[in-house]
Amino acid sequence: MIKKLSAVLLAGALTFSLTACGGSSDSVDKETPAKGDKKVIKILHWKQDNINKAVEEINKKFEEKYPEYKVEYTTTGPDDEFKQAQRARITANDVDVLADLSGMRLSPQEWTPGAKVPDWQQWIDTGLIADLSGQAFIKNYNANDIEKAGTYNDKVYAVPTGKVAMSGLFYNKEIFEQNGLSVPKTWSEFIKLNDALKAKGITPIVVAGKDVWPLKLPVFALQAKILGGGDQQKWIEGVWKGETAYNDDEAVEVLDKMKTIQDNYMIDGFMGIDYATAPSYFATGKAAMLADGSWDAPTVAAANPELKFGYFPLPATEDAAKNASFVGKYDVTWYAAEKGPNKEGALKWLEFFSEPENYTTFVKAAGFIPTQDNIQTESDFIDNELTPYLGDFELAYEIMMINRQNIGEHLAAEGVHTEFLAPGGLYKTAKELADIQQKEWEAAAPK
Amino acid sequence: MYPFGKGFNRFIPLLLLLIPMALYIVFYFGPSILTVIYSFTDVKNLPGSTYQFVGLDNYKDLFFSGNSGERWRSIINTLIFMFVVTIVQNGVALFIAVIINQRLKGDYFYRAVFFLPVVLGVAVVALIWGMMFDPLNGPVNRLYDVLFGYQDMFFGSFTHAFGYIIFVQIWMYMGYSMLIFLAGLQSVPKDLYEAGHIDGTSKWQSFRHITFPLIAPSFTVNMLLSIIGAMSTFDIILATTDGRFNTRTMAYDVYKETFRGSLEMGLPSALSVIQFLIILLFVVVAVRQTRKREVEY
Amino acid sequence: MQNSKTTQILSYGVVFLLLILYVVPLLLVFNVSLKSFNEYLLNPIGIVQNIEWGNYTQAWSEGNFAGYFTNSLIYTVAATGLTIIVSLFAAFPVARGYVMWSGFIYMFFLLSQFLPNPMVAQYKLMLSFKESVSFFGYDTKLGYILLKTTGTGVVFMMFVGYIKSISRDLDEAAGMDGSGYIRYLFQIILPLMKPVIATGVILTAIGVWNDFVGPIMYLPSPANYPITFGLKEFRGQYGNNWPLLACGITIVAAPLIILYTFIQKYLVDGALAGAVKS
Repeated sequence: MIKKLSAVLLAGALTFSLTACGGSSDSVDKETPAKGDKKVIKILHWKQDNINKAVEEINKKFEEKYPEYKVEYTTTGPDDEFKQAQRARITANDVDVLADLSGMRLSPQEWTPGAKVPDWQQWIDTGLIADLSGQAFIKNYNANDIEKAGTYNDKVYAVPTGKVAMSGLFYNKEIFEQNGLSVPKTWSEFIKLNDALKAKGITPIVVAGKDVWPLKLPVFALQAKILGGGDQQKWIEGVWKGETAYNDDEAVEVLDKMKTIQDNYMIDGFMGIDYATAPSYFATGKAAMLADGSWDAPTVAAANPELKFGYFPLPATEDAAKNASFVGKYDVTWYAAEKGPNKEGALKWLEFFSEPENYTTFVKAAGFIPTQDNIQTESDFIDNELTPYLGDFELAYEIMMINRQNIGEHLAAEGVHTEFLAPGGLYKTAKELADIQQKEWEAAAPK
Repeated sequence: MYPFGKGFNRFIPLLLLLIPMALYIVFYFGPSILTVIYSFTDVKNLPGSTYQFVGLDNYKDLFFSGNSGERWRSIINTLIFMFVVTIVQNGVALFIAVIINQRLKGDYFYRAVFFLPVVLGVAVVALIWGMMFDPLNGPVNRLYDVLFGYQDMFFGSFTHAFGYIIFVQIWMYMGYSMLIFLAGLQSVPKDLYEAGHIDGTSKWQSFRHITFPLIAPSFTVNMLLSIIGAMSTFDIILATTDGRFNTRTMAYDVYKETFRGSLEMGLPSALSVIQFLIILLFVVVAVRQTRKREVEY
Repeated sequence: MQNSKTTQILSYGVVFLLLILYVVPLLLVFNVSLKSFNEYLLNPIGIVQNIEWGNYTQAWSEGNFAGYFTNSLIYTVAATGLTIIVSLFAAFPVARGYVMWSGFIYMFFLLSQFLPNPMVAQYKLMLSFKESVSFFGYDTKLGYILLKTTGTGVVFMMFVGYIKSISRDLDEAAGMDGSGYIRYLFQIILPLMKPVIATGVILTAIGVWNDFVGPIMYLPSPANYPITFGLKEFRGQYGNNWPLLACGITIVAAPLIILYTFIQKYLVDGALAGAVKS
């Protein structure tokens, strides 16, 4: 009897050791490449080829300089998939350096009762994010940028690594020249340009509608220049206080102008084009313009190195002077986790990253406008295409907007979602969508 | 009674049973009950956060705030999904099972092919149909163009995306239902049919009066599987449209609110509870209906 | 006779049409997987002209399939093996009434199919395991395997149905010979259950091998990624590279298809056991 029992125990032990093997080999996996006592620094980021490569290069140099560390650089799909990973990893205290999709968005104000508290703010309030105020490397960055995108309650928690323009259109210089067209300065010039292209049988604009969020980009230009007569902040405060509304004239004009573009000048089937494919349409001359953020310039260039292209702000109004500046955001913003496995390593990595030499590598590859002063990007694109329009660089609506909790889908994720407009969507006119939005805004008001 | 000894040996079955029992309680039963409790609290997805009971607030948030319209649409979508999938999938599966069961040549091959999508899994199936339904280079759009002179956006269309997802779901699981029907059909003795043929009963009559009552148990199983499956599936939505273009269902919303929504965990918990209640309702109705039929014959 | 001939032709016709709907997408994927990216762009649908087997090696390395493949193999073998064993531990005594309240236990396990979605609490549970018993919590292979192991699901129910069809006399004869419970289970009962075990294996293996939602939630480190994550590598970067993606699809699908061809002849018997009971 005892014999049988021991046989059973053995069998049981075997099956368990099998699974235990699975469990332990995981820790082995993590430590073998590190050899000995290397301390792992876990960095979480999203996939964007050009930036990933630059970060990997920096990581390699970092490991050479500090052999006691091993960097584990994980990338996930962009947008929602990244947000999910970000949240899971910080909640599990399983990350040391964490990227965010933009600099700090505005947190709730006195005039926004019941507003949605952004994740980063809840993380800081729960003590998950390290305070960087005293760190020497913060001084490498432009104080104004740190103040705008990395500071909360007078303490520095984040490092915004660069600015990007979002409201522009890439344009094919060759196509423009061949047809005697020039960069439009006003809305009516812009419409004329599109009509001229159409008359020549050229598709004016390509955009990655399948991913939906790229549709927001041209809208940011419209919102920044039209809402509140060009003062978004005023309009946003107004909408909280009931002085402006999602269905007032200005807001409807924004939707209406985007509808005009979507209906007439976008490539057929733009709602089926995904974000990764859109640049190749533009780069191969299938469309004269591409609605995309300036960060994608390296991708466009890589897709067709021969292509001569420029970037101009979408002219939202008839006032050329008002139109002549970009709307954008701070892109990739690093946080260090307070309770991660290796906070000290995280700070060391950020310090290394912030050294002007490494930072230059990064910002050049990323195509960002630097947030450190005196950095030579040696980028014709930035010098010739972006700099002329950086005078009144404004933050985009999605950064400025403070949303209500449980807001409806037509206003969710701090956007106005023109994908809901016909013909793709179900709302036939801008006004119809605007009315729904206002209704949802009111329904989300705290009770 | 128990033939494998006395004393301690008598307890070996129970001891071994405790392993699956423990797994079940720790990973499923416990969390399930806890989710119900969470639905009445303000628990957050933050480490070490405490929580308080907030009564029915989460349920109120679900149905009386800015996005309650979407909640209702998710419920309606879930119901459409469930009804269409249950009816079409089982209808087609039963039809094909009956056809294959009449000793067609190559029946093993057919049923192997029809079951294949289950083997491939959701991630692969979604990609395969993503390729078929590619609006730019996809073969289906070319076919549409040739046949009707019409182009579709497929998974990028507000009006059609959900329909295509339902199609893919049925395509994927039809073979599964078919297999269960086939198993039921093969348990029907062949001489029963032959007796029917001599009597001169028509095919339909023999199916209705001889076959169907005998395969009623497989019918019940298939009904339950498709109802529960359709009500709780979200991976196919995640892999095709990711919930865009009005394709969200309750199960998708639970996932989305848990992992991508706000950090509040009470809301998805409440949504889970409502989803459970709806499933329960339909399962009870379905079981009653099919049981009635089994008794009738 | 005449009548039956037309029905037969019709039957073949219907099956053939459906066959097209099932086979064409699969052939298309295989066809695309052999094209170079340029050929795909020029001619996405037509039959491949220049076969590029190199796509597969490229996809294998770019998708990091080597490591992910091993992970998925561990998950699938361990979770499937454990599921079969613990399902047997649960099903046999319940089917035979060798434990108290077996009817109640059966109902309790059946409940697993209807319970409220445990996702929220399960997630918090895995996180708290990581804090306290780190080796089987969130982001560990063992934790994920245990999560995927169940002795109370569909496999359990099929087993109960099948065991009921095995004669009780066998138990008694074995008991007379002095066989112990566990030896009896593994030496006598297990071999008798071949068809239903085959069904259980394929169903469980499908669930684990193809799972991509579970790993998104519970396996965030690259060291633990399963094979389905390899497919993600081909999306993004310069547009979807469909030929490589199609290779990835084939790579992910092939192992299970092979397993399935070995096992499929048992499937109807297994499904029978599942259908009879319930």
